[in-house]
Amino acid sequence: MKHFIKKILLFGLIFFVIDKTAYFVLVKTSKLQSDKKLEKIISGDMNQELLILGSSRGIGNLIGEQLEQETGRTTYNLSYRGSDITFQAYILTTYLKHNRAPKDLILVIDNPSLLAKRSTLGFRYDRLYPLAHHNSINNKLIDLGKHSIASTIFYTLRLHSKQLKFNEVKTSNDWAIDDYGSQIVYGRSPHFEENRKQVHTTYNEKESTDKIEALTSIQNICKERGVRIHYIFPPNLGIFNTGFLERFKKTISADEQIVIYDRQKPTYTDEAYFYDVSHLNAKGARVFTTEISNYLNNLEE
Amino acid sequence: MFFNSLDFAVFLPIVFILYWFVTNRDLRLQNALIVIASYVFYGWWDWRFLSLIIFSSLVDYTIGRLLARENRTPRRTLYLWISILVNLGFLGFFKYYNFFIDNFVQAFSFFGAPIQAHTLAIILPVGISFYTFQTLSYTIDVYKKKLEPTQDLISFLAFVSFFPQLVAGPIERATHLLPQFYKKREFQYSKAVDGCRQILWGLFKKVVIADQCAQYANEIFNNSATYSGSTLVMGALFFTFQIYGDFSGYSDIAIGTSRLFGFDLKQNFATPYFSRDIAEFWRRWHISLSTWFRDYLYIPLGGSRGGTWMQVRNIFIIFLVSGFWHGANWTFIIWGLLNAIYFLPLLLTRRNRSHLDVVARMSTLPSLREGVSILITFSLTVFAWIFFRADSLSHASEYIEEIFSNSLFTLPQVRPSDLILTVILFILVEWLGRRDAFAIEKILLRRTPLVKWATYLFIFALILIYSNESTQEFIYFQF
Repeated sequence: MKHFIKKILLFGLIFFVIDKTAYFVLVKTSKLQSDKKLEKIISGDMNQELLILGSSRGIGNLIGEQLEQETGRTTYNLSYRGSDITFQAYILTTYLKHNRAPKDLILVIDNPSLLAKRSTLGFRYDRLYPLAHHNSINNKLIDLGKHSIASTIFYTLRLHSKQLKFNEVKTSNDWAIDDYGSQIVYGRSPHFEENRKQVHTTYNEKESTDKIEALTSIQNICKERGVRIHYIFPPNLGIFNTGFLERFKKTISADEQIVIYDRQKPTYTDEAYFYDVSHLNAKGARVFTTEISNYLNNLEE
Repeated sequence: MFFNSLDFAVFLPIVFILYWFVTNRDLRLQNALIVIASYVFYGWWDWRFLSLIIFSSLVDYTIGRLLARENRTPRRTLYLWISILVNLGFLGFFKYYNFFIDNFVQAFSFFGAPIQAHTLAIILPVGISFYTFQTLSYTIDVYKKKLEPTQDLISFLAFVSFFPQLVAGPIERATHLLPQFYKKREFQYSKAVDGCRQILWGLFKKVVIADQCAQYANEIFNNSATYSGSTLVMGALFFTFQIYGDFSGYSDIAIGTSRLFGFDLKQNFATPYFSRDIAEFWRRWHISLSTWFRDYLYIPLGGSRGGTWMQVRNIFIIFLVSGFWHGANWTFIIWGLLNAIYFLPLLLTRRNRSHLDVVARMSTLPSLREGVSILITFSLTVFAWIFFRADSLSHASEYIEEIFSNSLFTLPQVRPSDLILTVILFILVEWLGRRDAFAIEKILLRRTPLVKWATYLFIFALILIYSNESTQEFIYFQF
């Protein structure tokens, strides 16, 4: 029996030592990510005056570099494709933990799925996994039930099988993320017509309490840190869900700004400016970015 | 609690230490610890179902005691039937009530007399199909006087609830497992090390093979209408390895864990995918269930004695009941029926016992004939698994129809090369270890300690890394 227990303990000890090499694997593979936003946030190197937060409508519809040039404020686009408001709240909280608070935050609203229980948007765990060697990130993954609590001790439990290949991890589509965090898209989606059928004008969604709480937490933290929020409704081709707009207005206070794209502008009914029904292409993004720049500049005057 | 969970990783060492260091001087105390630990293990899912297993245990213990005192056949038969009705009654209610109600309603509607009936939101107690059969084996063997009924309640409760095999088998016979609770267990180093090795391999099969295959099997089966025939074949293959890795992995962990406590459980899987015909497959797949049906259903029905029609009838009954045991869905019944159809020609031509030894025992590779037989048997099995996995008969039918369309000859849309390579390596290891109780039992025995330890550490690391991927529940928990 003693011999058996000694062997088991020895096995455990050897594994514990070898396990530490997993830390270096995690560090190495984190450097292979083409999307380094979260790493930049944690490093505390950002300290921008103007931040953009949203999903694909944020990352593709607003050009960070153009906003910076047109407003004169340092700008970074913290949006992530496919991310929901809970993830956006996490990104903002993490940003403010490691960086100076911005003066303004543009929150790009997903009309009408922002608060919906069922949505194609979600929490982008995949952006956290490569940075799990940071204890704060790993603790978040533990809180979300994605990593075992034992991962606080064993780095192997922070690794994912894809990381063992040491391949460079590109973005999931063909467009690069620029130095300002934006991802401008070009061309036209092959599913353009399918997506057109999915746009509705009424709002009957069952809402998620987690998402409502996330929105509230964004508002609260901005209030605490003196950040001015601007809620931006980006362009949709042709149809705008007014039902959701009315619902959304109930979530904000009187002094907060909602900015809706200029629905009278011919640009936003012209397919040539859209990648698909709810995403602008490069041409459209330039027009919309200028609109937002003008809005911000007018506020300062 | 799941075997591949942190809860179990904490639970097992605690029970192990209490078992060998605190309670080892007193057999009754040690058995009582098994009972308590098993109830904690089972109650971790849902404490409410503890009452069910305890009640079932007490009924069969009492029936056993009554059978001991009763010599009159009619009275003994009555006691046996009480046990059968109580056990199968619970099983029938929890597992099949809604199935019968739904089909009853559909049948009446079909004949133009729709009726209203209420289905219930019934939660299936984990492991009920397994422990029910295990306790039934006790009362039947006592009735047949193959086994002396026990006077030791603690041992009996421990036998029924023994945590390593409680929720997904192997289904142990009372004649094999119960006597092990009467004897003092001595710690044996080699047995414990072997048990650890088997646990490691079982976890590898579950976490690295089964759970990874499950992600693709689920994606393909759940969206089968959007995939080509060749992709659907991949889906069926992924499910084939998922169910094998999952179920045999669980059995390995159960057997290995039992060995840590000085118990021997029967082998439940013996590399079934290397079978040369369906009869051999059923001697190698879920051995504890197929032998249970053979001994308690097939043989009492007459077995292979009697005329051809009786044999045919018995085969169909066994396989249909086996299908039905797996779940309340027509897909399981069709799966059983298919296996019966596969088996029948072998039985009728007296070739069902052609292959009793493992394939290529004395050689490295199978012969050409053996290789072809293995491929054919494997293909038939994969085909039947489609019904097992499909949501409904119409789903299975559409799935198969698409497989046998022109899209079969296109490149699969889903072809994860890493996983495919992993599965191929896994098949290779299983082939090399086909003569043993589990694949890595003896493969490394002649290697140096450095090689052995490096291999075990590597497997352990893979298990931890892959445990971060999407976790799947053990398939057989739903039975």
